[in-house]
Amino acid sequence: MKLQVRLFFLALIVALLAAVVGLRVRNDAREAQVSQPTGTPLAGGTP
Amino acid sequence: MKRFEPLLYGAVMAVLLVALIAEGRRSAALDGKLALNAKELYGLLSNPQVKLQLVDLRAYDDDNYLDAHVPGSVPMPDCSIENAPPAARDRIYPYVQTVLIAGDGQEAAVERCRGQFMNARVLAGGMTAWSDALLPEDVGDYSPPKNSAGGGCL
Repeated sequence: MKLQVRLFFLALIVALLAAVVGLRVRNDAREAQVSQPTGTPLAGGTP
Repeated sequence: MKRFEPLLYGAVMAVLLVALIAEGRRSAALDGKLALNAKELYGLLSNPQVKLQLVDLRAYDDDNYLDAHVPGSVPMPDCSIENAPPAARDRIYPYVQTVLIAGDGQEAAVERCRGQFMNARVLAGGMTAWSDALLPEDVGDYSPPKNSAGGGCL
């Protein structure tokens, strides 16, 4: 396999890995937000 | 070893793609659970690329919807289509991305409505939060958007 092709696949894998890790970190943070509500009620009123 | 190299790359990419799809699904599921705050909703409404339906669950009376409502919101009191004014009844679409706007003590209606719409989020703090953020409001009866005006919310 040529070096350029190999580098292309490696770059693709790194980009995919970065996307997966980024999305996972973001989802984990949002999940923590869902399970620990900030106290803001859904429908007006006093928190 | 060289023979298996393309296979190895393919396998790693397949695993990463599956993980990416799973995280994407998880992200979409979390979208529905998280409430939007007033500023976030305003930001979405200001973006012409985003198509949103706003459904106001408060009573259609002088103290609630008629007094002040988010521009473009469709009244559907207590999440019941029978309670909606006739002009609004054919303007409520269950398959469109929806934001629910509620009043005090309407948690039950919000939960009921979540089941009626495919993709529904809630405005955190309801209309009170929108008014407190000093964002634009409309008053008076619901009037369907004119087709020539583009049908936008704001």
